[in-house]
Amino acid sequence: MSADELIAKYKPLWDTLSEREKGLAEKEIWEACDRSVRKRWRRRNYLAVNISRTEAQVQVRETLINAGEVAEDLWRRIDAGTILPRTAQKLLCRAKERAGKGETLQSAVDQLLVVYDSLPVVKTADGREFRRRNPSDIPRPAHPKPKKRGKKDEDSRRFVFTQIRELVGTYMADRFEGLDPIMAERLWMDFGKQLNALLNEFQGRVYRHAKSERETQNLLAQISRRVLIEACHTLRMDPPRVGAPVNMTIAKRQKRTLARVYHPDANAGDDSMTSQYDEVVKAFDLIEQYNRQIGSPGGGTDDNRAVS
Amino acid sequence: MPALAHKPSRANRSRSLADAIRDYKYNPEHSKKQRVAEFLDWAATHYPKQYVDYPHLAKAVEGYSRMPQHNSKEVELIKSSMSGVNRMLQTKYGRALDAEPGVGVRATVDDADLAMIVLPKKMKRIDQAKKAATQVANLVDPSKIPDTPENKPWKQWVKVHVRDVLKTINSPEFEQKLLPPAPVADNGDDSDDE
Repeated sequence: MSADELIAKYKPLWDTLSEREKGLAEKEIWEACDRSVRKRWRRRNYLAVNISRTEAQVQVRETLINAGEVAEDLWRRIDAGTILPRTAQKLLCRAKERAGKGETLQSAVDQLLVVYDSLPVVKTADGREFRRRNPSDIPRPAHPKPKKRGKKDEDSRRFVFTQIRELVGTYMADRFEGLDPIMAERLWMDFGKQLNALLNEFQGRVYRHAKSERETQNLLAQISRRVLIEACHTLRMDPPRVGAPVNMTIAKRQKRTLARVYHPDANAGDDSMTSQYDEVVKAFDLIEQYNRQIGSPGGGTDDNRAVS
Repeated sequence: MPALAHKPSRANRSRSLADAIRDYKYNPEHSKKQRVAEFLDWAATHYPKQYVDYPHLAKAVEGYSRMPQHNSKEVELIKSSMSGVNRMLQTKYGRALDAEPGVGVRATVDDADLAMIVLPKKMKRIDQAKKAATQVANLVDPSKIPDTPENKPWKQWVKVHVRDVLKTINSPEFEQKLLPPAPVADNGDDSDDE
C-alpha cells in the first residue's frame, strides 16, 4: 500500500483511534513513503500536514513508539486518560536520563510512575483528572541578586592582588628566612602599597586607552565608509581597510595626475572637465579630513594602489 | 553592433558615469574584448571625453556587484586585453583608444578629438623613437666594424642608409612637422586659425 492510500484509509477513522493506534498508523504511513518524500520532508512535518494535527503530537507518539515495551505502562495510562501524552513523554525522557547512570530503563520508568502517582490530583476544566505537583513546591529558577556596580572589579582586583602576593611570597620564601618578623611584615606592607599603586596606574592607562579608542570610533562615524570609498574611487585608488588611514603619498600623486587631465587650464572652455576637477579636489580634501580624524594626518602605508 | 545598454533617461542624464555603470547591461554572449569595446563606445556616446578607470571598466563589462581592486586579477585581465580592444574600436566603431596613465581609458569622440588628443601622443612616440635611434646610431663607429664578408652589408647600411635617415629625421623641418602645434591662447579671435 502506498502512503497516499494509507492516509486515505486512516483519515476518516483518525478521531476514533487511540493514541497508540495513531502512533502505529503514523509509523506505517512514514515507512510506506517514497524515498523522494522522505528526502524532502521531515517526518513530523509530513505527518502533521497530511494526517495529524500538530507536529508536537506526532513527536510525542514517535518517542513512545520507539521506546517499545518499556512504554507499555505509559500507553495504558494514556489510553485510560490518566496521563497526558506529553507528560508520558517527559517521564520517559527523564527515565532515559536516569538509565544512563546505571539503572535499567524499565525500573527507572516504574520509579517515576510511583512518584507521579503520589502527586495530588488536579481536575481540568473539561472534567479530566491529572496529577500535578503543587505549584508552590515547584522550585523557581534562582535569580541572583544584581551585584553593586564596581563590586566585580573590586573582587577581581583583590583576587589578582592576592595571587601576585602569594606568588612573590613563594618566590622570596628563602630570602625571608632569618629575617626579623616585624621587618618582614613592614616590607610586605610596602610591597602591598607599591603593588596597589602599580595596579591603579595600569588600570588608569587601560581606561584612558579604551576611552580614546571610543572617541576615535565616534569621530570615524562622522565620515561614513561609503563616502570615503567614493572619494577613493574618484582619485582612482583602492579604499583602505576599515579604520586604517589612506596612503597620502598615493593620494597626492593621484591628485596631481588627475589635475593634469582635468584642470581648467588644460581644458579651456570645457565645463564638464572643470566639474570633474572640482570632484577630485573635494575627494582629496575629504581624504585629508578623514586621516586627520583617525589621528594619522600623514597617512598610512597601506597599499592603496592606483591605476598604473 | 547593438549594445543592450539603454540611453540614460532624462532624469538620469545628470548622473555621473560611475553611477550609470551600475545600470549598464552588457551582452554576455560577446567576448570580453567586444564587451569592453561596446562599453567604451557607449560611454563615448553618452559621457563624451570621460575617462573610465580599469576597476569601473571591469565592473561594467563583467557585471560585478562590488568594485574589484586595482591589483586584482580581473582588472589585470582587462588591462591586458586593451590592445585588442583598441584594434576593435578602430575597425568596428571608427574610434581610437585614449589611455591616460593613472586616470583611465576612453574612446575618442570625433575626428577633432582624434587629431588633438590621440595623434599627438602617437607622434610623440615617433619623436622618442627617433631620439633613441639617434643616440644608438651615434654610438656606432663603422670604421671599427671588422671587415668580414658577413659584416660588409651591415657596415654599408650604417654608413649610408642609417646616416641618411637620421639626417632626414633630425632636420628642423621634419621636427617641426612631427610635433603638434603649440596651444593657441583663447582670446576670442579665431581669425588666425582660418
